[in-house]
Amino acid sequence: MRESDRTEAYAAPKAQAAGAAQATPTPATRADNRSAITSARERQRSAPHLSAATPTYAGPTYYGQPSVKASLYGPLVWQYLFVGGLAGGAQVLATLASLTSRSAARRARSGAPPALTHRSVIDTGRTLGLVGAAVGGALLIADLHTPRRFANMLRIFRKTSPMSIGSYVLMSFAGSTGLSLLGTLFHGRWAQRIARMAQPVAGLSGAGMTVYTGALLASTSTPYWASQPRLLPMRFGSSAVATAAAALAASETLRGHAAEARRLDRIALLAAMAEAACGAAGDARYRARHAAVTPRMPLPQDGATAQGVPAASVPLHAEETEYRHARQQTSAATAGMVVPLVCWGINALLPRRSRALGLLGAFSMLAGGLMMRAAVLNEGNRSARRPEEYLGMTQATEDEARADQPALASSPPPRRTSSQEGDAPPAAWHWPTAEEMSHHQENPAHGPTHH
Amino acid sequence: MNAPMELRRPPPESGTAATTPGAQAIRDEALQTAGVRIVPGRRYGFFTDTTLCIGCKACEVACKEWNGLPPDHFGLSGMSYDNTRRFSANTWRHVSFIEKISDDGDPAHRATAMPPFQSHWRMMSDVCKHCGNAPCLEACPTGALFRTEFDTVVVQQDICNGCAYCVPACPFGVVDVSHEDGKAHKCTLCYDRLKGGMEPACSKSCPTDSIQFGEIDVLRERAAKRVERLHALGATDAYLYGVPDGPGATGGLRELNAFFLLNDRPEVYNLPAAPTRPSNRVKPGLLAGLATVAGLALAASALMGAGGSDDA
Repeated sequence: MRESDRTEAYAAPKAQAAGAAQATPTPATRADNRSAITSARERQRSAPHLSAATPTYAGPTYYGQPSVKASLYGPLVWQYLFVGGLAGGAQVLATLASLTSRSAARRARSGAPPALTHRSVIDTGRTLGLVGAAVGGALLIADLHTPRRFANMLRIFRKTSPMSIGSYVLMSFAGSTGLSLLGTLFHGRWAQRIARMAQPVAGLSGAGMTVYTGALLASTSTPYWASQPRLLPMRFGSSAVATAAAALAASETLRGHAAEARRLDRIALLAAMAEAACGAAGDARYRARHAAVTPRMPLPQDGATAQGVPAASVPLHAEETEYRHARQQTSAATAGMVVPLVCWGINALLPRRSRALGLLGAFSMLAGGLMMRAAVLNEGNRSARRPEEYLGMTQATEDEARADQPALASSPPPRRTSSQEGDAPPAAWHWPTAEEMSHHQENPAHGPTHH
Repeated sequence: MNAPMELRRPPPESGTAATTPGAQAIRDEALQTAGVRIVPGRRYGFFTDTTLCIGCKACEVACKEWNGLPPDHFGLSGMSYDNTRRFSANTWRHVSFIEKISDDGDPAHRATAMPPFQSHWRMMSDVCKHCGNAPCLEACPTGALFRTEFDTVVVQQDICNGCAYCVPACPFGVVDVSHEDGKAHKCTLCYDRLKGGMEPACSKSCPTDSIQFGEIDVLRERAAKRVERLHALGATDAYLYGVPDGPGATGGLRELNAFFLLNDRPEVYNLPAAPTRPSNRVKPGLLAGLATVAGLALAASALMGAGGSDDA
């Protein structure tokens, strides 16, 4: 999906479409009237979260049939998005902790004031990493439609496929995390050495774990995902760091390490704010360009006749699905940002940090991360089922629209009109003569006219 | 229909499969039925001239019969004569029907005279486009989707593990994963028939030669001539969909080995005017995401070092 502007498809005024649609009789088979095109004001009232200025694709669709296929991804996948991101983020933070603590240990050796070792953060981070990789791997294998062939993911490496890249990232993450965990479980010199070498690999592949799923979703033809090729991985990456910090904060709170927990709270909040910013930017950009507001009613310009033909089996209540998406996003945002902000804000003001508030904030942020992944996945699938969105997204750019390619022009090609008054009959139409039929030179004979 | 004497093959050698009773194979059958000699290494595809389609759906039937595909569903869709509705794992050819009641798009102005050409029907046999830079192939992590020696795109059924990543990747909504056998399926351009020197089932069964099978450059020349002829006859809205630099082959897809002659906007046929190649978004996405995580990591490392210690 290019970042550059796309020409609007058929800037036919919506009023014209609405007026023409109201002229057609509502099919008797439809019991409720909600599928009729509502006026802009009614739409505004029922779905206030959608801007009235949202441009819609007013061109034809094929009986409202989807033009691309929605992904088959469901709860297993959005659970993996959360778990995999958390595991990767946990190892990123554990690596940072080990890097900071090593220099802290050096400072301690040279007689400077004793510094932090972040021991428990490192250990918990490694544990979360391995458990997350194992659970995540199980979720992915269960999601395959032929799970017994899961190892085929490692037959080849394809750099154009984020799923191929991610398979190798997951493998290297699981391996290096396992090796780094040796340093937690065993205290021998070799164990510590192996762990020290594996930790940066785990951190780098952990960073890969946090973002490759966003690139995976964006490298499809699903409108909601494909319209945010950079913002979606940024959003997933920040959310992964935020949820990992929240999980580590919860574990530190349970252990009674108040200062460590407070540090992790701040990291989590910073990452959550980054996630909220990327999410808001991505959604705003998507709505500005691609969101379909009009419920899927055959428009007069549709290839199908609009007279009494009900739209196909795709749900017509677009406002309801828009509403559901907005509700999912809002609850995700509340859980993921507002509640932790409030809890940890209060905690910062209190003289003695409250365990309960700290835990509430952390679990709320975890729930928010999970809900955000579900919302993004479900909204993507919904957007793929709306042909207006995909067909609107795939209009030609300014560069592509050329005079010699009328199909790429933003306005419909001039149609032959054989029944308009006042026009001279189009002289080009004629019955092919015998000579033309046998491929000899063109004979401009005049056939019967149309009037 | 019997071929004339000069086109009949010489009698096959004895002892071969061709002389075994009951197995009278014709070598290079495509030479007789389509005028095409199928040679591995050359590029083959379809040119579908929708102005010739009569909507008989012989292509759908032939595809189902040859590939042994089960039916998808029964029941009328209400979408004119299109009861197949869409591609699926069991539907690899799909004939679309669009009735253009009026010339100017307003159904109140019903056309009172129809030109002899096409008579306000748009019928098109849709199929996998076997794209030049096929997004399904680029998305496949197992290598099940590959490019054959005939320049077509095929899913290897013994490798696919049903990850279903090709399904949202396809910009035309073609490939799908079957819930019965758990693998991805789509048109193979009758790879098995091509290997046997036969043209694909759909093009062989098409009674009007709307679906033409052949080498890509030959097809493109033929198609360009057909477009010129249509323009000369007055059908000025005819154009090719899927040729390089044209609609359908935009955004990095390069070209569609199965290309079409349409005479209306692509969206009317449920085709995107200017699809894009999804793998163009991989690198920018990964780099932007990694940069964000790196930035957060820097901030986090600063925050990790701040504040007092409570214990180890």
